[in-house]
Order: sequence, then structure tokens, then C-alpha cells
Amino acid sequence: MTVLVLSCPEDITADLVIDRLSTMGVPVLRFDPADFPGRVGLSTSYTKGTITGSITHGRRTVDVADVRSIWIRRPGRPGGGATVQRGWTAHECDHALYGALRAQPGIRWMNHPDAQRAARYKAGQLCTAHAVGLSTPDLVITTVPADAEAFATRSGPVVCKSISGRHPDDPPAALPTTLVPPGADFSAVAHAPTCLQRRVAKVADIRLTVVGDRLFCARSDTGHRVLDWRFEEGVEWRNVPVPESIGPKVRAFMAASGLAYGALDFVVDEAEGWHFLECNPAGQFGFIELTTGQPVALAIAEWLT
Amino acid sequence: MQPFALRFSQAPPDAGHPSFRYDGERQLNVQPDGSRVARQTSIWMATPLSTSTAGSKVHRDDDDHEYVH
Repeated sequence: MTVLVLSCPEDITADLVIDRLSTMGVPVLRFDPADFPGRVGLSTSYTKGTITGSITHGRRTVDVADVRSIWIRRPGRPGGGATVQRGWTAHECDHALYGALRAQPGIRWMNHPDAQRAARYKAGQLCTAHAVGLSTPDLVITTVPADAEAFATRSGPVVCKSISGRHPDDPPAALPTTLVPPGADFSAVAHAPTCLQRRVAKVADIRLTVVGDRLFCARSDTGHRVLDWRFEEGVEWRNVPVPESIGPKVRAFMAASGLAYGALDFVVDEAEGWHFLECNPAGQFGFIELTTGQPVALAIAEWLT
Repeated sequence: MQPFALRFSQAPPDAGHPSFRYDGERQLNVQPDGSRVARQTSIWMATPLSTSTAGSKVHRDDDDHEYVH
């Protein structure tokens, strides 16, 4: 049985897991769906309720029925090399590739495409987190300047953050979560949906990485000095246990979201209360593993096998 | 007409030029001497885009890659 790793070649986070799978002697096929068709080939047949066929990449060929699990690790979009009718061809490629894989019974997905896609939406995350009992800071997403200003007045101080988590790319820019200054002019809220969230007076940040049933919890006590640790130098992380009051809720969140993997961000207030910020269904884990020693890559490899 | 959130945007971190390359046969990225990048912490942590130190490197945790439709 083979583990499929769908990832772009330059993603060295994928390397961490493939290295461990190789050490374990587990057959792996790594390819980027963006290379299909072209360097990646697919041929499948439908007969009497069963999809059969194979995927070929280089000198490796895998029977789709022999796929044990699939790790979706930031792959490109299928049909990336199309030159004619690009949108249509890419859509056809998507349905051909993911359609064949989705039709195989018993494959373990990390994460299943449907769950992964649904989990990207911040509003749904917050509702799910609240439903399982996690504390969630109030938030507003609006194109109405008066509503944004009223929220800031009522709930301030507030932070502004991307709704999708995506950074601008035309031209490229980074968009850290940022404290909205007092007296801000909210008129530009009308130009695009704006996400404001009540700022939690935090003393620490938590990165809780979930792999199946396993929880890897890292804490940064330097976080209170910075709002968005992703853009700061010298942030230190250390292993901490998951509070008994949090672990079951996180597992319930993952189950409700249908996710096998997620990197959850929390902030901790002065009373040691945890507040859920978001779940990154394709979140990075390498920097946590390498700074804390948490064996996340090994856990992923073991889950996939 | 700039969206409100973009007033807080910054220049993106330099993506740099990695010294390694992808070895399709091994399905791993390797250094010029053939060693695995995955086992070289210093190189790994210094690499932006996919690594994400908690620092100035690009941290794309939340970036919602649209790889499935």
C-alpha cells in the first residue's frame, strides 16, 4: 500500500514526513497535481461500480486501488500546465484526478478535500469552536463603515486581520494581524469586507498542532509583547501540556470539522484562560518541531500508514 | 479605493534563493552534495516560504491554497 503526498516540489515541510516514511519502508508517491497532465499521468476506468487505474510520475506508477492514504500538503492546482482553455482544462484535470481518488473506498485523507475547504472559512471555525465550548473573541466582518466603527467603539481595542488568511499577491504583500489605532477612519471598509476582532489582552500564544488523536502543544510567553508572532524575530516556543479543560474540546472541534490535521492558534489571558483564534487546516509545523522537538512529522507519517 | 485592511500591509519578506534542489528520484530536496535538506536543521529553518520560522520569514499558515475545488 502506498502513501500519496500531493505537494509542490519545493515544499520541504513535505520532506520531513517523506523522510520518515522512507525510513519506515513505506512506499510513497509524491507529485504535484499542477504537473497533471504532463509529468503526471492518470488513466482510470469505470466498470460495475469500481474505478480502476493508475497514476504515473516519472518512473513510479501506483495503482489507485493500492493507495492507503493521501496527505494534501499544499499542492498546486491540477492542470497548471494547460495552455489552451486553461480554466476548463484545469477543471477537467481536477475532476479526473480528485474524482478518481475520491472514488476509492477506504483511503485515509489528511485532510479530506471537502473538510479542508470548509475549514478555511473563519466564520464557520468560530461557530464550531464556540459549539464545542471553546472561548472565542467577538468578531465582525463587514463592508459597512458605521458597523465597523461601532464594533471598534463597543469592543475595542480591536485588531484587523485577513478574513481568508491569504496575503495580497498583486503586488505581493504581507498582512499581519494589526491593532487598529484609536480614531481610525473606517470609510475604506466599504471597499472590501473587513474583519475586526476584539483584541484579547494576552500573556502568551499557543500553537496546538493536532495529528489524528495526538495533540502537540507549544507555548510562547514572549507573545504578549507582539500582536502577530508570525512576523516577529526571536519568538521562542516550549512544550506545554494541553489543559484538561481544552483537550476534549479541541478533539471535538476536529471531529466536528472532519479534520485529521490542524494547527490551532490560541491566546492566553492573565487568568490563564484560553481563547481560540483560528485553525489552520494546512498549517505549518516544521518550525515548531525543530524548535521544540515535538515529533509532528513522525506522527503524520504514522497516521498515514 | 484601497481596502481598509490593506493599510496595514507590509512588504513581503524576501523569499531568498535556496541552495537546494528537488531530487525527483528520491522525492526529496537535497543539497548540492546530495544530503537531505530535511535533516539539516539550520538550512531548513533559514528557508522561507515553506518553513516558517517564527520570524521574518514568510509564514503561510493561514494562506488558503486553493488546491481543491
